[in-house]
Amino acid sequence: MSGLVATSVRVRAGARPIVDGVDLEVAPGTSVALIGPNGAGKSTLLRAFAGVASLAEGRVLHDGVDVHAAPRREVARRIAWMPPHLSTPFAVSVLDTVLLGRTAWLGPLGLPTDADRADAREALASLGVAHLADRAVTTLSSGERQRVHLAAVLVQRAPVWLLDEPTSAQDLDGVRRIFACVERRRAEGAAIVVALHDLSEAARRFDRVVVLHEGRVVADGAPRAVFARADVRAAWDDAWDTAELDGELIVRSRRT
Amino acid sequence: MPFSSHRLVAVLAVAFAGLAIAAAVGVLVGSGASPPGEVLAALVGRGDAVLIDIVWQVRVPVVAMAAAVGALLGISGAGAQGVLRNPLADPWILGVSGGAGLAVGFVVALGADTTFGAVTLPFVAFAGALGAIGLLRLVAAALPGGGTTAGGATSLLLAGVVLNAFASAAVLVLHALLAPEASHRLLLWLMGTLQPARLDPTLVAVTSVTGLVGMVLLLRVSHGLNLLGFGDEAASAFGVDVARTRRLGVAGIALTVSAAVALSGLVGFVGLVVPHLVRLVVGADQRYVVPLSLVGGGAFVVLADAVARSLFSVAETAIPVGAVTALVGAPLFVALLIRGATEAST
Repeated sequence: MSGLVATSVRVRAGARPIVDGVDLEVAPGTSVALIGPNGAGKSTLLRAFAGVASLAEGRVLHDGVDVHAAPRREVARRIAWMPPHLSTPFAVSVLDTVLLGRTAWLGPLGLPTDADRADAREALASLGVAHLADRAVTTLSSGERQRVHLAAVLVQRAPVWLLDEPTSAQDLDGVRRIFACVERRRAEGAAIVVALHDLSEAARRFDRVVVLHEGRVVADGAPRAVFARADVRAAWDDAWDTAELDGELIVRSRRT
Repeated sequence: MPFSSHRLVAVLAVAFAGLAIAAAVGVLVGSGASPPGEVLAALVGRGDAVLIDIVWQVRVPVVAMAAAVGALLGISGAGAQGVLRNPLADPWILGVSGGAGLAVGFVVALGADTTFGAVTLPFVAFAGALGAIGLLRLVAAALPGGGTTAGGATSLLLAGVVLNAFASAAVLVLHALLAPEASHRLLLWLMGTLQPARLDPTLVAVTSVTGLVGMVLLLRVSHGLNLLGFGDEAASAFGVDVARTRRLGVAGIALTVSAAVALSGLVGFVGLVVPHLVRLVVGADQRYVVPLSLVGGGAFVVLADAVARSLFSVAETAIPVGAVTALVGAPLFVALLIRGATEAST
């Protein structure tokens, strides 16, 4: 099948399994919220899908191409991965940081074109941070840095997006803009997986929710069905319950 | 400042003009007090025959040598900071000074430092520097993921620090065991000196080829080094072959530094200070920093050497250029550090 296909994915840290046999398919034009309690293996699973974490077992294919065997340049044209934090000790400008997303498309000299630059500025504008273009990335707040990194993901033009907590440092304007970006990209036909801790956003904005617990997929389906299951709540030690607000499902932490 | 190739050409032109001015200063300055007008006349072959000889046989070669050594050290410093993802890194940290010093120490201790004439020590130093980096690669290869995983840069850095500490201790032992005269020869070499008279065509040919290949490698990976700055996994996700970039970067550093060591002995602080100065002016994009550190390093060592030579009349003995780069470089670096820290916190 086309899109992202993971089969029996296992990742270990020493002898300890972090991801323990995950099978998952994400078709083009669909977006998936990947949720789970702390330490469930969400970040490692995304790193495995992106080909940056080595597999102990299993395969990850994109449109039939093995993500862990193909040259990194080819993988970067297929898959964009956004880790939770982006940092560098060097004061690179924001515009140049966004242009890193074009790396896999540049010629041998690595020189971006005017079209690349225009693209990067447009991406920054869509995330509300066009005014930061000439600032050094080392001087930004963590929320600003997160938006800049998503702008780099945007200009990478990859048909698969793997976003790890893209809204963790965002104000509500940032949350709105970032999910609008995700929705636009999905509508353009991308296969998207977003790891999230905000379960209400997972319920409101995604048609499909995948629950990871102790390295395994324990539920995969429509938000209402998944959030109604007792074994899913048990993964969080029954720390939340759900409510309805204006016809939308809200997930909130329990008072006790 | 955001990168553009026009801007790179413009700042390179300014940097080369700066190097030309530094070279002019270097030629005008000497142990004798000749008026600048006479030195310039001698440069075009007019005036006093002795001065023409001094200018063409001593000053021009020493300025050229200083520019070459500085360029090699400057670009290797920029490379080391990029490969190790650490603005405080220096090529010496990769064990180069330790390896070269230890190899030279052994040969001096064996009394074999003139076995193949004046080029013996330069080639021994060259081999020692390359050997140290080879050893470092072996250590890195023994680490999980071959030193190319997330902690790869840190592992390489720590391995280099330990290698240098070990080699320094061994050099100190050799130094203590040597006869005073041999011990003085070792010390002079360890401090770094520019002596064009010791150059021989084979040495110049070998260091030119290895130095140029090293420079091309570092210029080639400069954009990859930008990406390595964001971490191995992020760089890899943006499409960089991290292992290959780091391998080419380390090879570039090894070739440029060992060529510099063979020419001048250990001239320190250039690889640390020059890329910092460059970043202060043009920002941290490695596509600027790598080529500008090459040109800027040349100017820095030419000026340091001019200072060393002008001190001759005061000190009545030759001051090693390595001592000047360290004496000027250390306080300058502290000033840059404080300035950088102040800027980062405002």
